Amino acid sequence: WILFESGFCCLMAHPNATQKLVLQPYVDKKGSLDQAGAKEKWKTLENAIHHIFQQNASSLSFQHLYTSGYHIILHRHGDMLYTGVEDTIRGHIDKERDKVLNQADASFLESLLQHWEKHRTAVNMIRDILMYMDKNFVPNAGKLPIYDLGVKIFGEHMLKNPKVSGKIRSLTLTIIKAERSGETAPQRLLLKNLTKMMTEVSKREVYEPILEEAFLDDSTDFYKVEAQNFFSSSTVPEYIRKVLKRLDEERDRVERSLDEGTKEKIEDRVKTEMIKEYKMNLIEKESSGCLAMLQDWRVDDLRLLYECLKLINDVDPMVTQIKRHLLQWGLKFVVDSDNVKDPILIIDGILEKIEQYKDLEKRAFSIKEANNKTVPDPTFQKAIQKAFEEIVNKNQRLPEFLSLYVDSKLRKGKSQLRDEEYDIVFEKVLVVFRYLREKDVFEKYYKNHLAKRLLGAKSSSDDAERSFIQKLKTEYGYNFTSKLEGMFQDMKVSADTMENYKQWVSARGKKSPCDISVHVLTTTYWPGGKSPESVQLPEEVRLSAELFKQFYIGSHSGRKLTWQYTMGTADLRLRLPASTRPYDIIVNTQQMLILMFFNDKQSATFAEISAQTSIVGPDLKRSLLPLVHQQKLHSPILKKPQNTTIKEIDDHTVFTFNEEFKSKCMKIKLSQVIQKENDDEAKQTRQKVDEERKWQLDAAIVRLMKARKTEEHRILVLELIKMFQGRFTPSPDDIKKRIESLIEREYLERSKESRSRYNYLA
Amino acid sequence: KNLNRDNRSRSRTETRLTEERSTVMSSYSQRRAISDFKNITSASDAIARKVLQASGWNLERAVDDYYANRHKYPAAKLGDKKKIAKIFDKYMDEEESTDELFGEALFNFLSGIDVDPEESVSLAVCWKLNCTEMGRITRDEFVNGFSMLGLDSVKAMKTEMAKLKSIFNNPREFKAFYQWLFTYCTEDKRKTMDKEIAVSMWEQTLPSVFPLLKDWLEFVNENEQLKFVSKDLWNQLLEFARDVGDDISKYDEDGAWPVVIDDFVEWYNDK
Repeated sequence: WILFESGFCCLMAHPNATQKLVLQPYVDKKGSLDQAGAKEKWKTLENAIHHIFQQNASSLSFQHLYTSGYHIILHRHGDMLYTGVEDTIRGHIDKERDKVLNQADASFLESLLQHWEKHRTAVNMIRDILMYMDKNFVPNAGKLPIYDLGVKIFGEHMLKNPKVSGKIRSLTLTIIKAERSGETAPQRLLLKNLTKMMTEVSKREVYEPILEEAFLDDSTDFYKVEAQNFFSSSTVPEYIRKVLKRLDEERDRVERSLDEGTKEKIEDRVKTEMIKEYKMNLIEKESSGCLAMLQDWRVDDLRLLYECLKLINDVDPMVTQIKRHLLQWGLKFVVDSDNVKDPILIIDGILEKIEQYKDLEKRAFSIKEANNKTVPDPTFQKAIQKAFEEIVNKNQRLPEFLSLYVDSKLRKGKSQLRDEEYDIVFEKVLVVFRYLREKDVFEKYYKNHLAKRLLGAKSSSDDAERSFIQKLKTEYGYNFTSKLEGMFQDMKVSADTMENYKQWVSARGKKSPCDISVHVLTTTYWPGGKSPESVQLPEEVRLSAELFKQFYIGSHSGRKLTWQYTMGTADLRLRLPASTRPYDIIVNTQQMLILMFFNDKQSATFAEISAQTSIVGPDLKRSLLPLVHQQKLHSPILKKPQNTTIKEIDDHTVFTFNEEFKSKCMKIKLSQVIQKENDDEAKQTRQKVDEERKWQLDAAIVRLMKARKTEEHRILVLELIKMFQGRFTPSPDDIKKRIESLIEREYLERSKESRSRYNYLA
Repeated sequence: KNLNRDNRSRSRTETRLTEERSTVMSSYSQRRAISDFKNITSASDAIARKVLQASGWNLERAVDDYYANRHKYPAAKLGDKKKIAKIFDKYMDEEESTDELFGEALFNFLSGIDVDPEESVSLAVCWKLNCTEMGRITRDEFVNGFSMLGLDSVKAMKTEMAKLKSIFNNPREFKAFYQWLFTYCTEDKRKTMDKEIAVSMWEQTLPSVFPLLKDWLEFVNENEQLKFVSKDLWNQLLEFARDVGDDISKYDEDGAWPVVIDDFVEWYNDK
């Protein structure tokens, strides 16, 4: 028989035996162990446990003790043994506790840790002795294994003891407090071991209630006070830096001294006390808050504030503040009566701001994503876009201004752009353009300005012109630009037509009294000028025009040709009796008419000129002004009475031809700068736009209803608004008026079943 | 498979049953519709059947159609045209015209059949005769109209016309009458009615229908941009009058009302 440690006996097969190998429990042949015998064996064990706790185990015989335990369990006295062990450990801890509590504060924690170490060693040894019980009794009886039991008893009777835990708490907090104020060298290892002990015993029952909770509450109080002190004594950026430093410290502390699970909790406390509670104060603090940062444009500080608020996931109030700041500037800037005088200045101002906020977005309001890409903060981006949209649409004249801005860049002049610069300018313009709600108004003005550039050959670069239109096209589709492209087409065809005309003239041996260059323009593409029906053209011009008409109608029968007197230019030669050298003057068609009129006359009143040339009031005045102005290089061609100012010009003002005209150059160009429209003209244009919108709405309604045959009012209105998005925003009232008009004209009728449903009438 | 076949045969039986039921039902519902129609319009059986058939047995549509096209559905017994012409001759003023009743002659005729010419009922008489021009009844309209109505004596006219007041209490009949008024009051195919005429018509016809009539008229008179009344506005006003209650509380902003009515609501609420 061989006794194995495992407690099983093994019947070894005798070489001669035929039996198989059988495993069976070993039964003491001496018979059963009674209560008394078991007690006796337990006494030995109990004694041994005391020795172990007194670190006096070397004298013990492991084998003997193990067998005792084994016997007790084998004879079913396990309960007695287990309770005995439990009681003995508890009794020991109770004694030890008093010893620990008697320690001075300075050595209390160390001593506690030492006791813990000893306890662990002791319990380990006890477990070894009672291994048989751990394996055979504990699982069946549903009890804790011996080691766990020992740890639990340590927790219950040592750590959870109110006196002990109170002391742990107060001592730990003192250490941390000192550490925070930087007074003593940090006792990190001590705290770490303490934490380790407590979490080993039980994180949920020991570490959290005894240590963590107290630590968090204490921190809350601490940071409450600290925030108050910091805030009143420092600027916002300083404050935030301090907060960030504190956060780092706390994180570091948790890593080195406490349990990992505490990290998030303490961060949360610090953020709440120092950021959440002071959120609005930080944003609004005078002289260093968000507003002050914006005023001084301190991007780094704004970034700091943004990151700080991002920590509590609440950047909205800051973004709102910035938006308000931007609007405050913008809503005033675009309607300021001084600014409005100069459209270029307004657009430049807006572009600059957009640029500035783009930069701010990149440098202060961007988030680094996982793939290391920085993306703009969506809240900020949206708010700024909204603000700019509001600003851009605040002034109804802005579409015109924007077109003038493009005109100023595309027009031949001193400050001509280099090829690669166009693209940059266009991209910027498009940003503003995207914000525009009334894109159709822009289109209208753009058409006007483009027409003047093309017809006056003022365009600085054909490629640039086309590239801008291409950009509009990619963004807003073919419909938006088809007419503009048609204009370019006309220009090209006209050049060919003129070639053919010259050949035609010479082939027939005819001669035009004066050279003319004609652009044949498709009516629907070009802005409709309010050209007077019958203008008294000078004879030479009239004959030349007739000749061209003869040629053109000859090759394009069925077309109708009307002359636009408002868009052309003329080269005139001026011969003065007093001067031997003739001057060449380049004027527009209307000015030509005026000057030719003075061929036969020395002077004429405003009313007479108007009657002769069929040019009316404001137009005539505008054409006359460059003629009567004293210019840098030449004297005025016509003279107005000395004492009449421009504003005072009326029907009776007399204009006289200037006989003493002098000029430093031979060629004089009386260019007409494209100016912004005056208020009356702007109003007229608006009326025209409104008319066109009515027409577009009518067409859209009819098209839609034709396809659907019948539709609910509500849906119709929604679809129309959606359809015109980007071009303009029709109000439901506008749409209703159009529907009513269509009902009246019998395109639609109200459904008999429901008055809010319309039927299409074929 | 068996189950499927069972299902199929059962569903076939069901279809047949529903078909049978529907023919039974429809003849039953047709009879109901005819009696309902007669209750509303007091038309004859034959006309009720004819109108209902034309409108696909939709009672609502049939009633509207009947009122809007009264002249197409003559009375069972036509009036004697000669007798009616004699009545016309009696009232006409030879010095003015032998083909039309207007002015004093018309006044006398209306008084003669106990209709107060000053009251809106007189308009209803013109509606019954399907007159086309305001303030006059032509001989043709007079003779054909009364003949269709089956009235060929002054006495018969009196009793029938006395019933006319009831149209103000019959919403469907009134709607047809009201919508007819627009055409009646506009000259030669014009698409709008002069504001002054519209106002006077509203004054005469809407008092019992439109609780806010006074406010409406005040608004219309104040509104200088409104010079003409479109057919749509005219028709929708009656719907509006019936829909919104005494204090506009039931007005729906998105209810596709003509803009003038929206403006009225705004004006009324401001007031």
